[in-house]
Amino acid sequence: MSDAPQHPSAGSGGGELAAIIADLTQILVDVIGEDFLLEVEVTPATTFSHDLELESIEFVAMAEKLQQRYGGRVDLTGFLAGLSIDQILDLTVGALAEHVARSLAPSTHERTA
Amino acid sequence: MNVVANGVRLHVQRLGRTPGRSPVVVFLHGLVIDNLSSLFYSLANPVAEAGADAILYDLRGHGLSDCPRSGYTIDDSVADLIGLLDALGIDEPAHLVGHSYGASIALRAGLRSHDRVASLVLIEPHCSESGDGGAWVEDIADLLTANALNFEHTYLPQDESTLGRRRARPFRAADDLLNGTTLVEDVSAAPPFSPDELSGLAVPVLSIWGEHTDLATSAMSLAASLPGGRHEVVAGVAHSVLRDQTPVVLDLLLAWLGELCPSMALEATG
Repeated sequence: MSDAPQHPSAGSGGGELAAIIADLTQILVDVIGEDFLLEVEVTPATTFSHDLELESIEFVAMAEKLQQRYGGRVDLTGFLAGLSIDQILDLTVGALAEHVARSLAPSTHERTA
Repeated sequence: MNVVANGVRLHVQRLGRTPGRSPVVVFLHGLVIDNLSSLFYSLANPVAEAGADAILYDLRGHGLSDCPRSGYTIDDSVADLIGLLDALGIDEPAHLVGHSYGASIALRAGLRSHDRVASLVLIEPHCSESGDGGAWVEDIADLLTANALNFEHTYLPQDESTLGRRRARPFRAADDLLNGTTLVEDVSAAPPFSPDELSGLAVPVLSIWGEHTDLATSAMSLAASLPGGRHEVVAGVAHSVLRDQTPVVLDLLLAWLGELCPSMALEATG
């Protein structure tokens, strides 16, 4: 976790994060329909359960589609295994997107080589 | 993913990087207002991370599985479970982790199909030894029906927004399950688990209870009938032990699986 970006919207990572959030938004449309977009703007601070009122079973469906979207490159099981129930309930779109971004990014030693 | 088992389309989640790993651990959730997400949020991801092939499914009538009008006896539920194992091509015996009524199904599966079951982890199982074992279902049904009616009366007339309709969905689903299917009468007719029957159980058992559970009679009866089993009581909680003491339940589960499956890497919580 120590190499996680402090400001996800800064620098070259911001565009990538925005693209991942756009992917997540599309997945949410697949799971709960598009009407919610009329009532809620999806931002990094948006919480799945409180702001989007995603049912727990819908969160599971979203996680499955996310895994399918990114294949084996994103370890969602490991990510969720490290969270308590309350942490999962408080999870934001941004936090999940950051995990995806970290999973997809080249490793740090490759970046600085 | 969706799997057809015993003639019913079931919503299934299979966790872990490589399906087909050993051990196989199947999670069974509780009744009516529950679905696989409660075990997904609490136990299944860490168990998969520790090396198991972790499988969750929504019981018929629940979550994202189909909701047929009939077929909710405990024997039907066991048939669904065995059908799921067959459909997934799982030949090796599976460890069944059941919560509440899901633990009752797991226990019945252990008795009826012991060759398909490696061990049982029963979290607050309903396993009344008396003939009125179904009475608690009537109580739950009454409570949920009252809630569903109250919700419709109080909220729906005022909230026709998309969000309002979405909020109503789980209540409508619970109402349909309780009042539109044979679930209540089928579960109420469940045969009790007799001490004689339980004493013949051929698989290892871990039962986990809340210290203040209303099912204390069931807990004592199960422990008496299964002296070779492991029976753990978690202090300070009642029937909601899974939600309120998740790390304790998870540690007990991982330790249990680790003892029975030495090849499985253990990563217990802190």
